[in-house]
Amino acid sequence: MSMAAELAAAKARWEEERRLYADVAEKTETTIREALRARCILATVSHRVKETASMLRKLIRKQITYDELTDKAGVRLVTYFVSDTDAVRELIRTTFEVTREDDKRAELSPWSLGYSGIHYDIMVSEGERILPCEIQLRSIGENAWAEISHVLAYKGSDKIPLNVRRRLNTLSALLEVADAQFDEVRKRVAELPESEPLRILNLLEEHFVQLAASDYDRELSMDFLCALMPLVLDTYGNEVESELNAFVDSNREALERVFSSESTLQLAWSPMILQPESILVFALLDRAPMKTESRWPAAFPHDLLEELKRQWCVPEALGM
Amino acid sequence: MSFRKDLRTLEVNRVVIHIVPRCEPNESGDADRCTLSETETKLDPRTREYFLSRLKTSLSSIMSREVMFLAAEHTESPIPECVRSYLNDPTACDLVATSQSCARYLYRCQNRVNPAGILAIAGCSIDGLPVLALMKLEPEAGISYRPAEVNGQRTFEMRIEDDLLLTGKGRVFKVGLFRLHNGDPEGLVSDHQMASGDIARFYLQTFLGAKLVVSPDVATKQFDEATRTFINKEIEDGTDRSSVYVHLVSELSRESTTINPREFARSCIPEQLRDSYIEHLLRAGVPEGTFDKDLETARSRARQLHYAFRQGISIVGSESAFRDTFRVQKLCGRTVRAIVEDELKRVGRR
Repeated sequence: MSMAAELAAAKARWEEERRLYADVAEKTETTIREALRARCILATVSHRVKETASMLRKLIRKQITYDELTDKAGVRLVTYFVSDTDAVRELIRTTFEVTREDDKRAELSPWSLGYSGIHYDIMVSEGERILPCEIQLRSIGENAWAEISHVLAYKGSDKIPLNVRRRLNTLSALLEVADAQFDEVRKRVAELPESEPLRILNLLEEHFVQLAASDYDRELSMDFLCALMPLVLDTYGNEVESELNAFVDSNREALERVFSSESTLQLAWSPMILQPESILVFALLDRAPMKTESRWPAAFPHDLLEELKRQWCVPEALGM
Repeated sequence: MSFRKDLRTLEVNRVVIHIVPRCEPNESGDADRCTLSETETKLDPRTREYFLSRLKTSLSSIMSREVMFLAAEHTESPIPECVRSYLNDPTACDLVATSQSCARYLYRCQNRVNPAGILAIAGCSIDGLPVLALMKLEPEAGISYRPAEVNGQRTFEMRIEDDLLLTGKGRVFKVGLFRLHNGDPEGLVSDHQMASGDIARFYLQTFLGAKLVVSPDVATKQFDEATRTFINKEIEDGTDRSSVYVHLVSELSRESTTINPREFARSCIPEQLRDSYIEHLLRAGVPEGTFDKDLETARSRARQLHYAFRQGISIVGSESAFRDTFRVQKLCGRTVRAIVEDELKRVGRR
């Protein structure tokens, strides 16, 4: 078959199958989002299917057949912190059927230009078919490098003048350093005494993602936890984490019920209900309901506490 | 864990509802006037959850009371037997037939003062164990609206709906929820039609054939004794002790028919001691929610105040005398200055 005929056949198949691949990409993105949430890993995830022209150009450029093209559907996963990479790799390996793992970081020699991530080819069931999909895993720095180098149309290092090459090398080194510094700063911030609310939020998030299938407002969580810290420390002292873990362990079923019930979902307008910190409020209401009431942060309306009391069946709620 | 906290895992599984009309003049209690369901009402997930959330909110409130069934010889109500039969084996019990008997009995025991309503019997569960709810609901009126068009212009039509149940802020219902605890039925009852927080006698005793677990005289005595013990054991500051003591006596003396321990704690106990005070009351057997005050018991216990000092001095007097003439001031440590501003009537042996 001539090249033109092959391309025409590929185009026809693509028009027929594009919807299927879009579903595969979307499904893969959703699966990754849920898995990230369950592991409390911060990352952005997006998906795409190839445009027809882009798909045809790649077949010509790579001299491959339609069936050999594995990135017709693709998902990009950009981690906020490079130290989360190992956990994400493990997540991908255990969640999907991986047919190829291409660690472009390992391929780079010390003198090569670039700062790359990891590519995976996976197979995904869609109806009765099993279709390929590509996952690109990058750190924020790697993503910045990939996006910018794409715009600069830089494709290799051989033909670049030395002074430009030096600038590119500096840039890629800077991005690598930036990734490492973000990690370092995260560690240092977590060790600060002022980071107690953040540490508690991290713990609450770990529990919340297991108990509730809901997005939440992290900024609101931090504001609330900062305001609630005097009460939390007065109630639990230095045992906040162990007390919270014990509370969740002994109330798991009731918590699952609260976060999954239709009545709770109907109350989603109430800013506190579907937030991780509601777990902490429930724990405080069991331990010290009257102190929680009297020291409720002034910046947060008392009605929010009343709503949480009703959801947690605290014998304080006055009527209906 | 308390019954109220166990409500967190309450589930509503099945519901049967019946219409129980108002008793007519010279009517002989012919229960055939009831409109009885012959099968269970279908619940969609939203209705089920709505029903559930109203049950939970109502029964976990401090206005609900812990109740138990009266002995068979003290009640004509068939409810205790119906509830026992369901709780012992929900699968063997015919919920529709059982609920029909309940509705007929409700009609017979109501008088003309009691308005018409719906009796809803709900087969529920807590942690997989059977629970039975009996709710008397009274329909309410409300206005519904829907988009309409008049002369090609958008507007809204409004219509009065007079068969609404369990509306958002509605309080028009009474509910009892029962489960087995160590083989015996225990219940929580709430009556949202009584502003005082009381439970209508007709609903509790006549219809349900039940009574409060802790009688008002016992609850009043327990509250007084437990609070006094707490004052003397847990409140170190002398002025705080005196202040809470005066508040206790005042709570017992005033004319209100109920005591809400949490409200008392909120207004009279130092903030850092409120939670331990409530725990102390619960350990002493004081009801968790609001309870009925036995006025006679309360008055007799509030008749005299007694202050005893370490060196042996005691001051005794009525609440009004203390209120008018006695003050306690804080000095250093646990020492206080007690001041009586009054005419010295006499001295001598006691």
